Amino acid sequence: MLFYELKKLFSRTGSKLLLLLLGSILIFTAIYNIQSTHYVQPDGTSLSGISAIRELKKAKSQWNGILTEEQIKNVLQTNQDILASNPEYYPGTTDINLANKVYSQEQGYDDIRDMINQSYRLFGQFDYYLIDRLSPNQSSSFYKNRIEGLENFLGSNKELTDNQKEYYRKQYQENQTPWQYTYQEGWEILTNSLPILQVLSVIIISLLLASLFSYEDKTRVKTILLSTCQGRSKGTLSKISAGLLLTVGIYTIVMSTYILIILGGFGFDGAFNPAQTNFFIGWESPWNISNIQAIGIMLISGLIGALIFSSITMFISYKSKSTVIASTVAFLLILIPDWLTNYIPNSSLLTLVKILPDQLLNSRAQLSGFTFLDIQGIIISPLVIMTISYFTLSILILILLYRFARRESLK
Amino acid sequence: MELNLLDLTKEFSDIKAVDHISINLRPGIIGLLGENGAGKTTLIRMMTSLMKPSTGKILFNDQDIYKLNEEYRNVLGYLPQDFGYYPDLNPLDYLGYIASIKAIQPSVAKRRIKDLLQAVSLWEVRKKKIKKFSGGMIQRLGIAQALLNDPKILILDEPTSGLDPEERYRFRQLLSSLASDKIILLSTHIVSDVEHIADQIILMHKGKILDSGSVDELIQNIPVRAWKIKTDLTKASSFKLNGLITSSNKTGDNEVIRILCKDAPDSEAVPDECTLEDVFLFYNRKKSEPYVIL
Repeated sequence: MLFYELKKLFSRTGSKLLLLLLGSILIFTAIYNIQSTHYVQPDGTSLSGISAIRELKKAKSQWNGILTEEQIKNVLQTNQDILASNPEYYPGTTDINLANKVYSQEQGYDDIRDMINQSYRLFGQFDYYLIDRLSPNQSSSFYKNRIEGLENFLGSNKELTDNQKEYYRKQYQENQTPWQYTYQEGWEILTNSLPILQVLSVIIISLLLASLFSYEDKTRVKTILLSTCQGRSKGTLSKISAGLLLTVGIYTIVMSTYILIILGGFGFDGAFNPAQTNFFIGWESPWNISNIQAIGIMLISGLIGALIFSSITMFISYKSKSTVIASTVAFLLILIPDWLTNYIPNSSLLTLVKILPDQLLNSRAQLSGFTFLDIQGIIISPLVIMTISYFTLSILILILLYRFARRESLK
Repeated sequence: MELNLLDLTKEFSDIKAVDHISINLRPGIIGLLGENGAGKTTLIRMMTSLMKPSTGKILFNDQDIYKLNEEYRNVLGYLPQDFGYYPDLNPLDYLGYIASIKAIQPSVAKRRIKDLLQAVSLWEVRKKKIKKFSGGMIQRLGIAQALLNDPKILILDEPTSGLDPEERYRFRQLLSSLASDKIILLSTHIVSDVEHIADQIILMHKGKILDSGSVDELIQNIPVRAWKIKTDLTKASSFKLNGLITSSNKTGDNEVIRILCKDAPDSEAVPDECTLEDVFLFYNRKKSEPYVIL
């Protein structure tokens, strides 16, 4: 029965086109990230693509190691030496060739540069050229700045509770320094690009499943199905199973393929670097996890997000008997809440919108910021709440769907 | 084996689509005859457990079909009036799917599907997409799916729509070969579909049963007889006031009229054999028709 459900779905041109679209998005995203990687050569010209990746890896790997204060001092000294050897250069220069030549010498420690800039801004505005104003003697405060920056932030913040503040202090204190740094370009690209790929994958999965139940009404096969001995029971179960299989299967294949392409191209190095070294998670992140753990969390929360949206779509497809309504509702639920956060002021409503299921597809935002909730004294990440709640909710929705279908009759 | 419909009613808003119907069905072919909107499809939907009655019960071997549930549907084969299919599947896959939801073992299903596709002359096109089929081919596929589980109760709603005369004939032959141990209910508004093969005819009109019995019994029960008159054109129109005209054929200055009425409408009228169609026309006549009997 499951075999036939899948066959029914993929015999349709629309389904094949959706899969083709998803495949194209996957390939395009991978190629885009590979092609948009640049390496600036000493003469100021750029390489891009695979050759750029190769050269960049070579350049950045020279700075692999433990990020001790000595290493930070080394970076600051190198930076100063480069500036000294290019006296005509100044930050924001319009001489592109000169700027490129200078950058070609700096790009090896670009990741460490970002960390230094984040450290010394003390949770203030990010300034790319801050490093140019630092002397090597200031390296000793590299890690202390993080604690100091936190204290400044907590001191001026009136929204966080005392419990939340204590929790963040504890997390920062438990963060093990000095950090291990390894070239980690692949992991940074994954962190940056996975959320959009997750959103697009879930939209396409939802569009695929939008007709799973409604197609029976559209083709008028439903009257035959309801008159058979297992049409209501196992027939419904096989549809639900097909939906779940497609959701998990397509999501897993897309994510795995993408990760393999990116890490295969950029390298698997940097998997165990602390998440704070990853520019797209951020220096300030209170999560004491590694790059690979961060990606793991993003993948799992994305999978739960895919499951909840699939369940909702299947339910609406069944109840509304309309593929269009099911597709539209899924599409709006995935995209609208995040857009709304731009317009809703800080309030309970904003807190509520930020735990809607679309946030599971953007868990990077949860890893980056101070988003832990204080619920009756218990400090917990919204990700944990959302993962458990929406997983449970998706099961309940599917159980409800099954119960409705078991008792269905024509009106 | 018997299927009993006990005082069945189905109401939609203020319309009674089925109005207190009681029937007892035994193995054989039963024709359910009625005009469009008589309530046949609604009645069938209740018998196939697609729709719950407003009042009344349906008993299969003295057990309520809504309590039997899957056990009842396991012995049921149904061809709806508006037969649905998946356009992008071929007959093999379509019947394979239907067989799976009818809980037919795959090995048995494979054999059944082959036999049925051959019986309905679709074996040669078994791998062709259904959307490329003609109306008649689709209808034959529908008949095949209804027979997949070798049902004890076979309910066919307008099964011959789209079939050409030869296909209709083959269909009637097929049904006749199955009839001995099955209850076969054939719902139609086409009299010729049931006239020669049904053991019992049920006449339905506006949700009620007007009459039921064999063809001969139904003919005996109508209070009119058929007459043929050859007359000139000026006199022909006057006969319309005497009875129900079933056919008229103009040839030159004359017209041959076939009319239903109680007594000979004219000294030159010749009796003609009544048919099931006459019974159908009698019961479905418009109230506005001028009619001597009423």
